[in-house]
Amino acid sequence: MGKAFIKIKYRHIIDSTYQTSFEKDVFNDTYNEFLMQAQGYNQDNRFTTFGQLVNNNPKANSLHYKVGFAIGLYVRDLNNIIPVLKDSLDKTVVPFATYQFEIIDSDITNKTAHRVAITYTSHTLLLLDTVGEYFLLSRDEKVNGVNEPAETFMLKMQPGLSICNYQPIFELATSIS
Amino acid sequence: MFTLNTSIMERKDFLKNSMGMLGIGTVLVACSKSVDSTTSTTTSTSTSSGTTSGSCTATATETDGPYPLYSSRGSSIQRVDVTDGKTGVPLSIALTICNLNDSCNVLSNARVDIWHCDKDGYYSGYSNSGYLGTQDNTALVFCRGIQYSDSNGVVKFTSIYPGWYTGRITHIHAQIYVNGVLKLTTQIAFPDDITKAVYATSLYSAHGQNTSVTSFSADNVFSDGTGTEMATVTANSTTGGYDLSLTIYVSA
Repeated sequence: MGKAFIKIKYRHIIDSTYQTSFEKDVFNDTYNEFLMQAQGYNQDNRFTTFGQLVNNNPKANSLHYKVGFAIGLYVRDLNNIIPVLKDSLDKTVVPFATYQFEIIDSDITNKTAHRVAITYTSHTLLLLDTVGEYFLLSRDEKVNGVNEPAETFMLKMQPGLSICNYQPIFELATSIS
Repeated sequence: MFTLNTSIMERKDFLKNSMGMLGIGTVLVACSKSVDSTTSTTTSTSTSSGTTSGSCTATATETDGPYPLYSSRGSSIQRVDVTDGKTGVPLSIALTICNLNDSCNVLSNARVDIWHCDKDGYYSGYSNSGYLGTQDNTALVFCRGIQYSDSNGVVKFTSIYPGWYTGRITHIHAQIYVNGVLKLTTQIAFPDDITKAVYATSLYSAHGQNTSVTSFSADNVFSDGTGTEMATVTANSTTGGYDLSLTIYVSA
């Protein structure tokens, strides 16, 4: 794999097995909000699960973003760093530009069935190389000149992680021998 | 060895919050003129004629439209000022929530969600098309707000006069929750003469008058009447815009 500018997506699944305070807030508040919002699509309380609501009324798909805005401030407090996704030094270092919330499933009668995901899309990163299972990446988009050092980090390929945008870098200019 | 120009890479700012402040007109409306009015058990209604209980009439139920958004402790839309930097004629909104099941007295701590389009007819929260083309507003939350009614049953928002989009006459969406239970989904109508005046001002003139739906009778939501949903809208010399007030009746 050659050098490239890339963007990555990381899908952060949050359910009743939450570990962090962020995950706890997201789990609890999105469930509470789901309980409220689901009412608009559940006259006579005929249904209990998110899947049933959507099957009965496709408009219930609006619940994804209706519920998602309930955690906007929690996500803002992440300061644009993807949580959970850690580099080879066990640090969260990957910045994100946007995110999208989705309800995987839920049940108005069973909170443990509540399962949601936040998919973060990174800023543009510079992919320098791959080393085994690891990507060698830099947050420095601008790399000028020759033999100029760049701050890098290494990120392991893992479930939930994907490259969603790829722009190869051609060595257009100066190659100094 | 390589030289790069990365100026083509764009960055997007995350969740922009507007801190603009506009004056909020104070409009308090008494729900009940008579404390001894008869309170009767009412059932919800889906017509704009409403249901009468004692001295007041239930606000009519309307569709929530396709795009409401909501709140929690971490909500990005629980705020008074919902403009988020959007330009438009200032609109100070005061809604009073009253309870049909309590002699039409004011109802405190009711959650009120509102949302409406910007001056050009675009909503935040999703990608939508209008006269300016398609706008991806997925990451934005302008013109959406949540407040809880105070001891006078009042919630206030600072916003802008909504524009219009094809298929609808000017409106604001509203939902009322009491103790976590959705009590009412409705829409708020605007006096036509004021809307026409606003749409003739410089900020709105590019889109101009609503040529899509030119009367309430032609509107798919308000065609059955605006009796319980027509707001009182008055000029506000301080903001240079308008104050909107409406009393909304729910059975709680």
